[in-house]
Amino acid sequence: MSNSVSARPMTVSQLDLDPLSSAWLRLSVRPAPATGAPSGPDTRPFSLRHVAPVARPVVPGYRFCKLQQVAVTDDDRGVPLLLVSGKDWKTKTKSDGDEGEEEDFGWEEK
Amino acid sequence: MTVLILAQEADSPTDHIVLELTGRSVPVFRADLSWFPQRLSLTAEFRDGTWSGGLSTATRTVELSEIRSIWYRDPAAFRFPDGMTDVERAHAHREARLGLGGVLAALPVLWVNHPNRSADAMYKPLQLATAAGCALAVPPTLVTNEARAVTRFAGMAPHGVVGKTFGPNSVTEQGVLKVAYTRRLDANDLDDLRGVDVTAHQLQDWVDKDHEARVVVVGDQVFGVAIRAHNDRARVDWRADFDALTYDPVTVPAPVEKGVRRYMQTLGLQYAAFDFCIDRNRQWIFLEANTAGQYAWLEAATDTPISAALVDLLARGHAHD
Repeated sequence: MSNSVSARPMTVSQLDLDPLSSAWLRLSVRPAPATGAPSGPDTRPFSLRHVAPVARPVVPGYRFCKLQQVAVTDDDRGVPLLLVSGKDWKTKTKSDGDEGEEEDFGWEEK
Repeated sequence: MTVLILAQEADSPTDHIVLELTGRSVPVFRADLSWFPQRLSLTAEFRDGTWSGGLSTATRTVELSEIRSIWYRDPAAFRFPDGMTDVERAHAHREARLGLGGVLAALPVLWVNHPNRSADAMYKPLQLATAAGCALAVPPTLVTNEARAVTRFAGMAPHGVVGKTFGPNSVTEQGVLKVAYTRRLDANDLDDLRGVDVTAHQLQDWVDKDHEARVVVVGDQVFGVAIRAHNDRARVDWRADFDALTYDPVTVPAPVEKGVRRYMQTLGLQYAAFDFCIDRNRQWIFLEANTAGQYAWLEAATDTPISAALVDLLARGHAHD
């Protein structure tokens, strides 16, 4: 590894070390979502010109039941959330992994 | 024999599969990779040509030799102890990925899907070429960072063009979650193409469609669900307004089914959700295939037995009956 590469701040999962590998995109530590404002028309990707604000999915209160290995209601009853909220309660919450908050919501894919 | 499920803790489709497998008395070991290394431990030894050992949590253990299949459903990233430096954390991530991931990759089990196969399959240009190679119809598509190429391509499209992202289509700016839905480019867009040059962009001929369909493939089973949009926003991108959609099960035409099966085989997949447009001539046109595409809301709306097929596949531990 060259000095110029190793001297870079280790912030965005080192994606630049293997720029064409989709595996790195999927498996690397993902950057936390940016909180800054859009740049300007000359530098903002055209594909982001018409982004639309959306509400964040709401995940019901839950705890993970180690015995049943499913999410259950966060109360004394501990009923599987699936039985209370149906099959299609919003699935993914933000990741709680080391990658920090992640923008990987199930409904966005297509 | 045990089904290993790697998924986040709050995921209703996973819960459904866990309960179904448990109801069939199929042993399940569910974990999220964010549990590793603090709440999930691994010990594996290679002797006499075989990996042995196991995975453990505070309440459960699975022997590696007992694992028959792995459902890899978007688990969260490893979570390491507070106090690590960035350098230590990056090192720990790499070692965990290659160590834990490597041991699992070495097991002779069925993956649904192996993350490396999914990673290969996420390139949309590769998806289009693979689909065309499998005799599926694919719309003309442009990938470019040149504005003049966009102008030329749009000028050739009989029904106009859409712009769509290659990957996840959301960003958070100033605390607001925003989504870049597929968009039909209008004259104003084409008159001002600033920003095309700053990265790769994808444009595609607009298909004058009657409706759309999601085709979910699980092992050797194929399920089709028609998606009908009832307003203009949802007609361009059905994700833009789920309240404007209706669904019904649909029989996938035999040539399309044959094509998606070949696609799965070509890319080494056991699960994928394919999206098609169905044009006014009833031709099915491939848009893309997501190896982690959602299915639960379609199952809930149409009673299509996708979960049951997943349970069968994971319990069986091999692709075919």
